[in-house]
Parts: sequence; C-alpha cells; structure tokens
Amino acid sequence: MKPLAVVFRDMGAWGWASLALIGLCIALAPAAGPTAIDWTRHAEKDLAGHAITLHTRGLIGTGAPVQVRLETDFPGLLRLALDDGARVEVIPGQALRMRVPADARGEFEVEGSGETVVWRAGRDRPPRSVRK
Amino acid sequence: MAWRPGDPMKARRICFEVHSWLGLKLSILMTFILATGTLAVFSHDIDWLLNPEMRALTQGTYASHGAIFDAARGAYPDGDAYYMVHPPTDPWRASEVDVTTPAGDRLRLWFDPVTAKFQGATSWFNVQRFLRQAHRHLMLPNDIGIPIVTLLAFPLLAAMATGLVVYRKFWRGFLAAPRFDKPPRVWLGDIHRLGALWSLWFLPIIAITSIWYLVEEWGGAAPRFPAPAELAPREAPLPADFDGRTLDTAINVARQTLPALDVRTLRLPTSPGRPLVVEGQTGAMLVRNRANAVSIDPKTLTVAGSFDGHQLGVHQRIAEMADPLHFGTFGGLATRIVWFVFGMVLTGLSVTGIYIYGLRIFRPASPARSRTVAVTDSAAAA
Repeated sequence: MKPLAVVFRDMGAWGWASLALIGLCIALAPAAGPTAIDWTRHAEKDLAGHAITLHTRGLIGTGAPVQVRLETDFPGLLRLALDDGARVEVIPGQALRMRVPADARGEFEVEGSGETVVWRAGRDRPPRSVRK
Repeated sequence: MAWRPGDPMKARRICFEVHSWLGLKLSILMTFILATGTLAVFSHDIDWLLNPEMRALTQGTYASHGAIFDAARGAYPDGDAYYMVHPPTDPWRASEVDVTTPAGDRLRLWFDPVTAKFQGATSWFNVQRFLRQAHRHLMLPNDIGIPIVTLLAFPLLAAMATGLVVYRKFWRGFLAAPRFDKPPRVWLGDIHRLGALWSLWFLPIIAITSIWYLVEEWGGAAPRFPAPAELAPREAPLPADFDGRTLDTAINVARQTLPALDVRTLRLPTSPGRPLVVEGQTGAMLVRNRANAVSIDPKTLTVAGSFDGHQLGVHQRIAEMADPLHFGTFGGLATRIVWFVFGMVLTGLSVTGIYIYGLRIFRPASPARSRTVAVTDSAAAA
C-alpha cells in the first residue's frame, strides 16, 4: 500500500477533489430514486376469498436473509406482516429478500386475506398455509 | 533548455512528463468514470441477475403489444403506463412496461414475453440507472456533471498521444509478452503498454463520442425530429376505451406507415396533448430506436407524424451514432462483450499507470537502499 500512499500524496488537491466528487456522487444516489418499492405508498387491497400460497427459502428466525414468495390469483398487491410487527409487502409471484430479526417468532399473516401462514422459528422447512 | 523541434529525446521527455502528470492527477476520477462506464455496458444484465422477475421463462412466439398492455392494466389498474419495451431486447429478458402509480412512484413491470403473464415489479431506479447516472454526470445536475465527465476525454486523448510518443517503435509491441520474471514495475509496465496498444482503436471512439456529448450539452445538439401534427382533443392521456386491441391496431397503422419498422419500444402519452409513439429500427445503421418512429393519435388512430433514420441530416446522424458507438450496443451481445473487455482494459490502464508511478517514486526506507539511490542519482546528475 505504500506506493499508493505516495501516489495519493503526490496527487495533492486533485486526489481530494476526485474523492470528493465520487463521494458526492454516491451520496446523491439515493436522491435519484428509491432502490426498493415503497409499498406503504400504495393502496391496500381487499384480498378476501383469494387463494394464497407462501413459499420461503432459508431459515426464518436466525437473522439470515430469507426469501419469501407469494403466489395468488389476486392481481394487485399483497401485504405481509411478521407477528413481531415488522411489515413486509410483496406483490404476487415476486421473490422478496428480507432479513428477519433473530427474535422473530413463528407466524406470518397475510392481512385482509383471511389467511394465516404459520412458521416454526428456526426450522428450515416450508410453512403451512392455513385458511381460516 | 527550451524544446527544439527535431529533438526526439526532449520531445519524449516532455511527453512522458505530460503523460505521467495527467495519469497521476486524474487517475482516481478517471478510474471511477471508466469503471462505471464499463459496468454500465452490462448494467441491464446485472439487474437481470439480481431480479428474477426480469427473466423470460418461456420461449416461443411473442405475445402482442396489446396483450402485454392489457396485462399491465390488470396488474396495476391505477398505474399509468408510459413506456414499453416489447419484444425484449434479448431473448432471455422479460418484456417491460414502466408505469407511474397514483402515489407518483415509477415502477418497472415485467411480463413473460410469450404468455404476457405478469412476473413482478421492480423500482425504476436500479443498478442500470445508478451506473448510467454516475457515469454520465456523477449524479450532479446535467449542466455541471456532464462537462466534468466529458472533459476527461481530452486528457484521455492526450494520454494516448503522449504515450505513443514515449513508447519507441510502439508498432512492434502488439505481441510483446509481459516479462513476469522481472520486478512488478517492469511487468506492470509491459501490461500497461500492451493494453494501451490494443486499445488504440477503442479509446478514440470513447473519447470522441464523449466530446460529442459535451458539444450537445453546450448547445450543439442536433435539431429535434419533426413534431407531430395537432391531435384530436381528449381529456386524458389515453381515451377511456383504449385497450390492448386498440394498441395493436395503432401498431399496425405504424407498420403500414413505415413498412420496414421493426417495433422495439412504445412511448405512451403522459398528457392529453401527446401522441402514442411507436419506435424501432428500419435498417438505418447506428441509430437509436427513436430515430425511426411513427406518432399516432390515440383517439383517432391516425398518423400524426413519422420519420425514418435514413432521412436524417448529417447533424442528426452524428447525434444518433454517438450512443450506439459509445455504449457498444450496435452489434448486440457480441459488441457489448468487446466494449466491456476493452472498457476493462482502459480501466486497467488507469490503475496500472498509477501503480507504476507509485513503484517508480516509492523508495523503501532502508539505509543501504537510500545510499544506493543517492549515489545513483548523483551519478546521473554528474
């Protein structure tokens, strides 16, 4: 790294100016647009009566990233909530990557659908979809 | 010690100083711009890898534009579609419809291009947008960022020219293998020169198109394409009864107007005064889709205007050529691979150049080595 330190020293103000420009560029990136869809800005839909299946991959309750996928015949949005209050919203058929808190416990509820999906924390197996 | 014409040693020395100074002072910014530009060549593909909804799952005859449009309406009844890419640019990609939601968000909706099945939505801002905006204008306002970035084309060209002067009999170096048995400063120098030589065709393309973008930004943009005729009055961007079937009819009208038109993209009206624009390729070389377009009145389905890439003036032609040449998109995946590889080479030149400088300047703090250096320098001075 020492040769590079010498290089940066010799760059003088040019080096700092370049870093400042790049830093500004990265800092401004979030202002260019959201990188994820903010589903809370979208209207909730009435999901009653629609068939819903939830697919997951990964260990829920370990803090590791988990993929959740919902399939439904409902053409709009679905809202999914963890029972600890952390809310996640997905659209049908779209894989969703989310990080579940390590202390999350066992139950997803698809709001408004009359569907509850039970998950046993820490088990790497697909959840059961329960129609109430 | 003024430089006299005809003194090649002195000329080389000056060129080396200029080459070294440019490389040193601009290397960080240059590396960032070159690296983001290189990644941008495959930015759509990076998004494709990150988002399963962007992948085409079935192969076969593509669904009609109308079927995709109806599917978008079904998935987002409240969304206003304003842009459609169908058929997809590559067979492994899904068809895209961009919509604005009532909340003002812009989303990309993805559809199976064969079955028109809705596959999911992603945000409008993605890896491709980040790389494009970072590379093009550093996320700054265009009038500030574009000149900063594009002005780098001049030192890039100067570095190439001075490098050629410094590198004696460079034409013999195209097949010179790097001497990996030598110290890093030597073999890095060999790689630097080898990469530079093989990029001699590529660097001017990138630099000159960059200069063109600067010219455009500073008022030299080509004349706009002809404006469409006045449209029948309507209250909404699209008539209330406009559906997929209507869209297919409009596209047929566009194809009758420009029989050679291979439809690639649609621009749907975002206000009542705007037409539906059907864009694509007609066989004109090195032009963007927008250079071949038919504007349709979405209410009457009559042609409000059209133009063909073959009819462009010289100024418009230059403007249209810039993107395909700068992006490497004109030959599909093959040219994009070539552009990516040589983009990596240019980025590597910036990195290796600066590291060579560091190795040349840096002296480890060793007394024996310091004495040697001092003696050598004294001898050289003498």
